[in-house]
Amino acid sequence: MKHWFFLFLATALLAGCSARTVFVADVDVLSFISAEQLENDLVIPGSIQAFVPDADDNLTTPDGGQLLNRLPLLEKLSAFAVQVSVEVENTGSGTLDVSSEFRLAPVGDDKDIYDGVDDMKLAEASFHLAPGSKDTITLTAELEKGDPAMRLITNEGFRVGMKIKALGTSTAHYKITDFSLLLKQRPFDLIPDNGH
Amino acid sequence: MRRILLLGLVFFMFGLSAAQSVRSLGMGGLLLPGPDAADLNPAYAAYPANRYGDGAGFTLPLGLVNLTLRPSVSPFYYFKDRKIFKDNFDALAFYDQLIHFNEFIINPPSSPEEIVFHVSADGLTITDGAGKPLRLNRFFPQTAPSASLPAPLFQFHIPSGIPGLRIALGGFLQSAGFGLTPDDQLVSDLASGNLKPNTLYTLHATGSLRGGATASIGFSTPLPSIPGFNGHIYTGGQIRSFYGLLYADTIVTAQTTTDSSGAPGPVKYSSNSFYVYPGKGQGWGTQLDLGIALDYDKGSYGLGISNLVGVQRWYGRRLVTDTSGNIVTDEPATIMKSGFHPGIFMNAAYLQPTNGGELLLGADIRLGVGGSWASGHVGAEYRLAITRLRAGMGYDNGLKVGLGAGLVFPGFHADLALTSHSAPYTSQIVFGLAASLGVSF
Repeated sequence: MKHWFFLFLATALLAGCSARTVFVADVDVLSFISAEQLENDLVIPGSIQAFVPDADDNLTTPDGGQLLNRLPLLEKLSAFAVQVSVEVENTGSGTLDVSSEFRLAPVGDDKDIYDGVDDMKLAEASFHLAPGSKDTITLTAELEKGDPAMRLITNEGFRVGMKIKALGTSTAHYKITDFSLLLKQRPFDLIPDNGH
Repeated sequence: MRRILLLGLVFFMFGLSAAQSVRSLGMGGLLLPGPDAADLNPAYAAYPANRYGDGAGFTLPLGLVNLTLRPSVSPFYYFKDRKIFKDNFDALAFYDQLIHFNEFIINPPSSPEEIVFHVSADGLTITDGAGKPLRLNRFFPQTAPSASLPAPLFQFHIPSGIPGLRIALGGFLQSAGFGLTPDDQLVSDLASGNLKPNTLYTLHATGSLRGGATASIGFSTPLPSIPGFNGHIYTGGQIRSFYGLLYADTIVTAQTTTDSSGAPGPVKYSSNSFYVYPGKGQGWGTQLDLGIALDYDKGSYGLGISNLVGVQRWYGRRLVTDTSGNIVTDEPATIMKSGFHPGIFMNAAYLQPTNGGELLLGADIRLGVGGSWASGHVGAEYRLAITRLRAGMGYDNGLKVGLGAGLVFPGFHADLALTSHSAPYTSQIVFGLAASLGVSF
């Protein structure tokens, strides 16, 4: 996806660019997700798995997650950070054990980004939720240059998604309250090395 | 073609280096009354040469030190040691040193450390690391007076034997308008908010270069003294002509159209150049300049009008390529400039004796009729025995400040100047050091 090249070129030339200069893309993923996918009610008959954002119109089946391919991305990324927060409320009468994980996958992994094939788990968290109570899970992950997960992010884009697993018999309401990405790239990393 | 580009680059650098004398830089860019200013005011040809001190010496190309050795400035490390280049090079520092070729830049400006692209479904916003919008218009090309003949880069005066008759042969090389111009839409959208959907954005890279030989013939004479008036009035006129060998005027345009979500599409490049080089075309031109100068008591005051009547013609080729890279046009073309495009130059100096020394004060103003460009400088020089101390400031493509020192020996003078200017884009105050050596006969 060469689309962002013009923008980078214009910015780098007009603003000045040096070995130290880092381009930071601060992406508000939340704004790309349609409102009806941001929150939902769940009936939990003992155990349930939910996959958000829901890409296949069935919340409880694994899917390709959220494709992010409209980002200002260059060939090589020098750092990546993500933060997702989900608010879960136990609206029923039984207690719930909630766990969640955040996954990153390449563009081509469009069927299932939760099966460990091509994709990777970046963060996980879990908590216990009593009836009537509400809690927020926040998942964060930071990747540096050289991290194996970094190869999943190319200038074609990448996929992200979260699996929420609840154990217990109750009903729940979840709402994604924050979903942001920080991509750092150094334009000088694009200059090829030579033998010296 | 590569050889021609290289030749162009070398001339470009020398063209920049010869722009101002070190004495003038030390006084903020001030051009004093005297024969050095005869190109802008022909009345100064008959003016006493050493009324305000020695002429310009040979300016040492101190910028070469940074351009070849300093890792943040020198592009040569790209070939010499790629790792040093990738860890240190700064495009802004390089550009700033290149356009101030005759100065050793002490503190090269640095590019911003972070440029932040805020992406959301609403669009894209770009800020610097501190969250401030980018001010992109600082990188616009610097404009130069182009209607007049360029000032000669070097000039030999041929002794005419007739007082006031000035015959000079020389060469000129002028590079101007190097820069990048985003279209207004791109500037406002990048700086203030979002790229708009389904919009065409363009970015122009421009540059121009002219070179050739010059010949000037001028006559200046003091008017008969007026009874009861204690001053001297000088008038003069000159015809300056050139034969052009080199002309390059290029615009490269990059453009992209955003899609319905505001994301930029593929980039396309097109170009439009007019060129003349030895063997491929030529140019000629001539213009008439008039001037008057008054020397009264301890001061001098001059007014020069250049290009009162003038014509310039360049016969070369125009090469146009479209966004697919195809050559659309490659045919002979002519550039003609004529008509009334005068430039006005006014300067003044005043020499005041002080305890044991002398204080020289000066000012100059240049204007293009129609107000298309303007510059002005004020400066001072304090003289005590062989020592000269100078200071000045001016507005000339931005604010400039200078401090200088010089030593004057019989037959020889050395000058040093500390100048400052504001860097493109970042507005950092950048200091440069310039030096020259001069021999007087």
